Amino acid sequence: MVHFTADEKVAITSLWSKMNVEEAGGEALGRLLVVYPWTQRFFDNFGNLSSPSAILGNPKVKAHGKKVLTSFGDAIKNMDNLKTTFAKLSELHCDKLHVDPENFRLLGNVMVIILATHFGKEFTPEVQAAWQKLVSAVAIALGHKYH
Amino acid sequence: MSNFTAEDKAAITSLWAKVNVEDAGGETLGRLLVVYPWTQRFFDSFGSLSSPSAIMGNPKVKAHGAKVLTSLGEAIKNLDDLKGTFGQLSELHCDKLHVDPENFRLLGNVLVTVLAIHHGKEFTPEVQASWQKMVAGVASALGSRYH
Repeated sequence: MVHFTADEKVAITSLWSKMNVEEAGGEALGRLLVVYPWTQRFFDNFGNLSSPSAILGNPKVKAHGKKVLTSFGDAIKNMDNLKTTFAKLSELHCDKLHVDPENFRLLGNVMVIILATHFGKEFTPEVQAAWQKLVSAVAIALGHKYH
Repeated sequence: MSNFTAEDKAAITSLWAKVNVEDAGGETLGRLLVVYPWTQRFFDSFGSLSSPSAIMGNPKVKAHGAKVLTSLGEAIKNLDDLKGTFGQLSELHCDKLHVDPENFRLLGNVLVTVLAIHHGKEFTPEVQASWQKMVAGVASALGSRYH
């Protein structure tokens, strides 16, 4: 079980409280689909993903991105219990959605980049370290029920 | 061999022209050592790495970081022949330094984060995609002579 120090929790929650989950969600999912184009295969029914601007403007991408990031917000309230928090989502992503867990790591990296672009120097090495630990732990928790 | 489009090359070179290689080098290597602490094992002779501020202020970290990014600058002039450019460095990292190639991917991700911090919104999804391709190509080239 991953253990987060008090400093790490502060670094994570204070940055999160300044985030617009709706916008950041759309941006995170959009960037994933642009930067790692093979991930588009999971979103066949999302309509136009033919160019970066189409992807970033796509309303289904924005809506789904918001859903993903809202779920991430739940993780942040339950940092000491990520495996349980994500157990059902883990089963869903394995049994129904058939998503390779490597993609969770990719999405986590994209989130770190978004935080970096939004917060600049405030995204210090220590804050980055705390967030990297969180996204890795979330990726592990989401992969935990795979079989 | 990674295929860089004309747009990729433009995105990479135009951003690189604005990078202070010395500052960015120290920051990138420093962040690697803070965010992924096991990487400190390769730098035993560097003196104090005992805290994030010690790491970020360490003159050997800054100097070596500048060296690494200068080498990356060479790669940017030779995007169509990364394997050739990094042949000898690949042998060095395998035969003498014994660095797990996974660490090249980690350093690449840290560099992308540093660029995101410094360039904010200018680090668009398309620019990120080109840079992600670049660092993946470099990591692959650095691992190409491993045996």
